Amino acid sequence: MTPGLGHVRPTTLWEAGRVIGWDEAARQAERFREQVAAAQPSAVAAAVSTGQALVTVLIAARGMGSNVVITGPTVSDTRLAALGVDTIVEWADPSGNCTVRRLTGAEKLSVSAEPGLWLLSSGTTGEPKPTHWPWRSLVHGKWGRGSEHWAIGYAPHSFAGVSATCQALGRAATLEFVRPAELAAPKPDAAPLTVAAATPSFWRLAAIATRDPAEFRRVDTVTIGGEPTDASLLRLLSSTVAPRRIKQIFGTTELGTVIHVDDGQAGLPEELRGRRLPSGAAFDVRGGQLCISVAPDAPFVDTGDQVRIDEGRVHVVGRAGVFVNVGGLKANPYRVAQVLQQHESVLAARAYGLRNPLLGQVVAADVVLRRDRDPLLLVPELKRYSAGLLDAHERPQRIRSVESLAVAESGKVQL
Amino acid sequence: MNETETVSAAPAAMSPSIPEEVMRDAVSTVLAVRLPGGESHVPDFTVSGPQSTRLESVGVDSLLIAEIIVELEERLETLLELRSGTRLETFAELHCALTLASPS
Repeated sequence: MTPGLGHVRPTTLWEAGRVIGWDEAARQAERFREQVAAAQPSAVAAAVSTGQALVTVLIAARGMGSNVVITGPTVSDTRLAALGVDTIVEWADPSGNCTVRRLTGAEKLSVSAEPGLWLLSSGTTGEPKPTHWPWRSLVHGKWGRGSEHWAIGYAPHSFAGVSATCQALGRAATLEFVRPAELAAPKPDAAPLTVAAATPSFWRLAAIATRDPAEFRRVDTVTIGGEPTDASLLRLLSSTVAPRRIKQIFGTTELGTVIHVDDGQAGLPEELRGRRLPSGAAFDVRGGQLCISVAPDAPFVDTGDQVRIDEGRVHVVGRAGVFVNVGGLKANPYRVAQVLQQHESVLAARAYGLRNPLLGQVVAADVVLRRDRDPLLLVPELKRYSAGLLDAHERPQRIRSVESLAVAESGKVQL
Repeated sequence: MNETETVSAAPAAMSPSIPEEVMRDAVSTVLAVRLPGGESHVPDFTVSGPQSTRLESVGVDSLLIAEIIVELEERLETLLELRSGTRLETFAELHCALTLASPS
């Protein structure tokens, strides 16, 4: 039986040890609406840094019949003003009331007639770009009651965070906004999770925090999105979390969640390239990039994801424009991290550029090793290992053993 | 053990700011990892003086020079600068061309 499918009851929200019921969430949403109405904004943004703040905004905004920009902590006031925002709603204390702040110099926002949310891309390769999502594409059915138990590890201001939360609010009796270590630790009396959704970086950090896989929270379906997923992550999830199903999500903030794969292998099946899926979506590889068409009458759009085709699978290996310039040669940090993560002793890795007085930059990497491994022996071994799998300029010249990896506000590993 | 080639070079105009033993250890570490055969096959090399080993003769290209610099920065816990207007031919020239980065 799929866990969490018990009685339908009002949704309860859990986050950082704080629990609130649906009635309280609705009251907070009402306060949000009153404060925004009093400010009489032309365009309002909500700076959500917690899952509970996101739920407040979602409930309130859905009832307001207007548009709200969802923003995170790394988007500047200048950028928001350029998007037309003249009012920002913030939470100084995650458990407290929201406050309203006015922005000056706001430009005129391009008006969308249909109520919904403006969501910003993570800005990995430049300024975060806004995309308008009407409610009809985000929400189906009523919110606030369900029978499932969800955990969401995505950044609350990300498209993935908003999308997953909208789904959970229509299906979950319990919705937890979690950090990686919270899934790795035993939680007495906690029901198994129906769905746990997060980035590959989140799942690697959760695995790093695991002392004993037997203590990991039981999960029926793991969903992964927002970053490249490789075979090493699927193996890690199978050995640590052991879910019934692992679902890889392919999409972007601009296109939404378009394709999912749950056949247990990393990447997209090459045999489906160019063919319409039952949802009407299709994917193709053009110029080494993943292109997606969301419907039969929609054009193929370049997602900006660089791909490699290997043994019948289309693997996302990085983002266009994200590279380390090693003396004029481009090194893909995602590829370097993936190669390191394939080593049996490595739980997680991140690669990035390191200043060098000869070549401008060289590739460096941080790795989290399995607990019983000796860094003094393994770092030289990892250098030799990666040398056999990477081009000369891609080989990490410095590899450091670290306890954990730096993760950006977006929930993605920092490059 | 690989045979190494050495070359006579004019004395460096500047005295190195990095201790010779640190330079030697950094070069050994990089060669042990990067050259085929591992630690037991690190070729003999001379860091300083007129008998300094030619970089090319032990397979040190620009990527390995860059890695030696990274290794030195780790050991010295400071950033280095490369002061050389000409092609680096020997370990001695590389040694002399490396200086501690001045605070910006």
